[in-house]
Amino acid sequence: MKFNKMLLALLLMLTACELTRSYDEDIFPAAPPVLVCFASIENDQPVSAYLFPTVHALDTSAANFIADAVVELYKDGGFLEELQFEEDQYVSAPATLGIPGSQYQLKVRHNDYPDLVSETVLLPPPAKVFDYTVNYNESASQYRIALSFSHTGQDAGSYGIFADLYADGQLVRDRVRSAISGAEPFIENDTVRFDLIVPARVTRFEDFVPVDTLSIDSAAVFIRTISDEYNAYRASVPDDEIGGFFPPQDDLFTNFEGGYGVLFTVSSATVGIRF
Amino acid sequence: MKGKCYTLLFLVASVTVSAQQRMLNIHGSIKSADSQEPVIGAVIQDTLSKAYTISDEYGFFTLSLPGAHGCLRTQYIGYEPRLICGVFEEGQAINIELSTSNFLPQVEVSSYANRGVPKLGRVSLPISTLQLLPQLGGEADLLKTITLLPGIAQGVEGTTGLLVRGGSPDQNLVLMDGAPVYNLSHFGAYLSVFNTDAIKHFDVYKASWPAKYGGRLSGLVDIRTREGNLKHWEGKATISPLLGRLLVEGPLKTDKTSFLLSARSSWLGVLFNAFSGQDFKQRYLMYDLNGKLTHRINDNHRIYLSYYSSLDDSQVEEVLRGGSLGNQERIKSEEAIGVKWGNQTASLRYATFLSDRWSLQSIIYYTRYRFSGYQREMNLFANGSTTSSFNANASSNQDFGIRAFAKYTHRSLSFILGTEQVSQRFAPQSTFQSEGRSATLLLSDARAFQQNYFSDVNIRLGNAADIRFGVRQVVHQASDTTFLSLEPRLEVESQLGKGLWASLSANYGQQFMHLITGGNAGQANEIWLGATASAPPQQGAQVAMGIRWLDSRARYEVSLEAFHRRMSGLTELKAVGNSGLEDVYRWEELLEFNGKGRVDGLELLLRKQEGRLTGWLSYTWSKSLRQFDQINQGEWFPFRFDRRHDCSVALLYALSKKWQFSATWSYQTGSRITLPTAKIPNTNIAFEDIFFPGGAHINDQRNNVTLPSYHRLDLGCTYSWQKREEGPTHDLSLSIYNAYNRINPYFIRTETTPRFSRDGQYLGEDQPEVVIVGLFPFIPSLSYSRTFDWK
Repeated sequence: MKFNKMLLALLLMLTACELTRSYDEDIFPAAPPVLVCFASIENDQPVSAYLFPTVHALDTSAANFIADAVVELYKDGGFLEELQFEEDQYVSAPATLGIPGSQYQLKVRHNDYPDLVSETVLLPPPAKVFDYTVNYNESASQYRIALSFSHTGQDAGSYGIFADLYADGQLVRDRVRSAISGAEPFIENDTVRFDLIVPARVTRFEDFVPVDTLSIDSAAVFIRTISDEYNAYRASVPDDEIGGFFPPQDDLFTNFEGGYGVLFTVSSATVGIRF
Repeated sequence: MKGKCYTLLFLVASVTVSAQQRMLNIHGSIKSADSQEPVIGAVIQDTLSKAYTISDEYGFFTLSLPGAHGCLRTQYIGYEPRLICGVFEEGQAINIELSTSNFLPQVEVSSYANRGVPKLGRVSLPISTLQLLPQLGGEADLLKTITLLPGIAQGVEGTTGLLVRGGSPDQNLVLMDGAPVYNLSHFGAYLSVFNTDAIKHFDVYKASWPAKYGGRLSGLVDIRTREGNLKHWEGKATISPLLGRLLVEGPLKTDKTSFLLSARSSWLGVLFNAFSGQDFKQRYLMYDLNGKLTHRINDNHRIYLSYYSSLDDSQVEEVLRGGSLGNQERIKSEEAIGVKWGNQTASLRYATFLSDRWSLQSIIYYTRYRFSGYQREMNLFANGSTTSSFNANASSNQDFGIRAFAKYTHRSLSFILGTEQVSQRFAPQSTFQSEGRSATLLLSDARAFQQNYFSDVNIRLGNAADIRFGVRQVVHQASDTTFLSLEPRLEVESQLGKGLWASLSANYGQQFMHLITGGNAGQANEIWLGATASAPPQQGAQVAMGIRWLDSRARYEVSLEAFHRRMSGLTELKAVGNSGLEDVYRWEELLEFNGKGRVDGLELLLRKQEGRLTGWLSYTWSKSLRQFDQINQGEWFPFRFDRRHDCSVALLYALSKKWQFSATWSYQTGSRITLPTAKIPNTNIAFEDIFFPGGAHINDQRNNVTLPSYHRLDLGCTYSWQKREEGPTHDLSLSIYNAYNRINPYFIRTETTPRFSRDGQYLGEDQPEVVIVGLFPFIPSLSYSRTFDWK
């Protein structure tokens, strides 16, 4: 036993594969904080923007939303209005809705941070629905909605497709997403073909107890065309791991000057379907 | 233009004047009187005319004398100088035997001794010096020792990597008896793959290599193994805490045929096995083997058959119970990691004197490097969910080549003409599979055929100057395209005054392979790629100049060299974001190509090479930058191993014939890493179905942070004794590695501690702590070796 302990000690001494010591200085370079803005321009919706500063690389706290900045919205090169802070975000007046075909820009001023100015983004017209058909699958108790709509032609753009389901005019299931029950979209000749599968019946619960089953008789299908900027940002986010096999992305996408963040657009089209 | 014409006229006139004297040519070989092994790099000088030459890798030499009378002084470190005076005849063959010196060991940093033209840009050390310096685990290590010399640095401790003049590790050509060796380190990089018992001589070139070698941009390490004693059988056995070594050599036919066998293996596998348990199993096997057969047909014809093999095979399986992963409570985790790699080389060489002016050297070689590694992980969580991942990498490359050249030496002129034909195969492959990411298969099996034609011309202008110019023509046929490269090189050395020499060199070359090595795991990530149309070759040019001063008794030397390098066609791993590796099917798609490199440096060497206290001090200042259009917004950024300051001191003190003390201290600016300068904080922002979770790190610049500097002191002491004269020699060596226990950064990582409530609810994380991870603390080791002799 004593010999074994001696061998173990020798082994540890010679092959200690990993020794650690705390780094007692701040090795992470600390850049001065700048503003980050995530903002959306959507047709027929008020403009919405979240604003907060960057933090130290090792900070694990949640975003500290800024309420005392001046956030200005510009439309087609002219000043439109100053957004107001409400519940963590800056929003436009209820009557100021995104208009397809218009170009928008945000400018942010704050005494403690450099100014933030976005690039100008175009709110494209919503997808035009050419056609749709509905097929009922009795064995699965599902409707298959085959949609075809116009493609924006943006390579990196993406679509958010989902449905709200109604029974007897009452909303019984909202945001049934393509990711849950859809098929991969097929794009050809600037036309997107997409199958959305929704349930024909839904169970209604009260206090987690099923009380009855409702037959779906209509649906509102939303086709949201999300601009390139959102995907460009998501693709540029570096892996969380520090010191991994691959070097980290060093070009986090932003279309703001003076800070970070994304101003992107969403063009939403709605199709009403009766089963 | 006028100046150029005068220079040319001067050169022609000088050669002509030399030729008009009544010169005669002699040739021969130099060998050890004891073992009959050829002596490489010995200086043979006619003390009357001061004409000199240096023996080549086969111990051959050719010398032109101004008349029939001459006094040949032959000297080489570790041997008694020998003087042969007499009347020589045209074409006379002279075979010189040197006896081993009884003097105290000397430090000879340059292989080209005290007389003769110094060769700046190349260095060597006698193996005896190398074996006296303190080393990790008591094992003499060629590659670690040469990083104590100016212009040569190591990568991060624990990784393979020899960095010559700001170049990357893949840019060095390492030859073992003429055959390339791809991987240079055993496990954990604590030891290089070269067994010093089997090595006779090595040279490191940092600039302007001989034209017979090419295919890399930065450095050449030319290692020659011993040939075995032609007189009698002998051997040597060594045990150290890490390994055991055994060497046996002797004549199969006295004075005609000899063999040498040398092997090393580590005990660590046995120890690992002894301490493996149910939840932790570790297996490890490491060995290397050198074999050589030499047949001397006569003094002018020799044949050599060399074989070398090395292997590292390590596997770890671990079961962890309890704990947490991310924000989930873990019940059990199983992880298995395996990595295995090895080199194999074989070469058949033939060297001969065709006449007193012509000699011929030829080699057929084969080399293979194989690497495979895998990592498998499975987690079972308290909520019944599981995660699993599997990664595997493999790489294999093979070279099969023939190199042959004829050498002509007459009076002040010598030149070589030769060719090298090489068939290469690169076969990297990889699989990644993990939760939330699709399996990705990366394959790239490439074959290439390379034709090289080369010539080197050396003109000696008296004893005051040497001019060498050469060219290598390369036709590289890759799988999908053909590359042509014309690679010139020039070297001029001139004596400015007594003991003071100046040197100027310039060279250009191309490298038809790339190495993918990333992350922290060093040798576990070595994947080689051949150049293709989509992965074009690397190119590099270097201009260097220097001066060297040697005192009249050659005890002290000072040399100063400056260099400037430009490179293009460099590669770097692509940055990968959260989108991961989906849709990547070829290794080429993981790399950024067409990068540029720029290195400037200044090297200083001070050394003392006689007396009880010998040693050297080296200092290198260098700045190594890279530029890629797709990285760092196209701006220049520091190379990962941009060692701005690199300083080393090596001292040997011979108290007596029995007691030798040594110490080395090295300092290097820390390596570079990329760290975020800020972070977009965590958010729960959602615009309907569009989410911005935040948490993204902001990396402004590639390699923007310098890790803490690397420094280390090693101490050594060797006691040697013989119980009787002519009896076996015993050596007991004590080495203390990292004497002041500096934890040098291998890499850094952040450690976070998740917090849970009593009922297991995830409450968040504490502020992460930055931790420096290092290898190799204070490690004392004792080794013992004993020689055997069967005379």
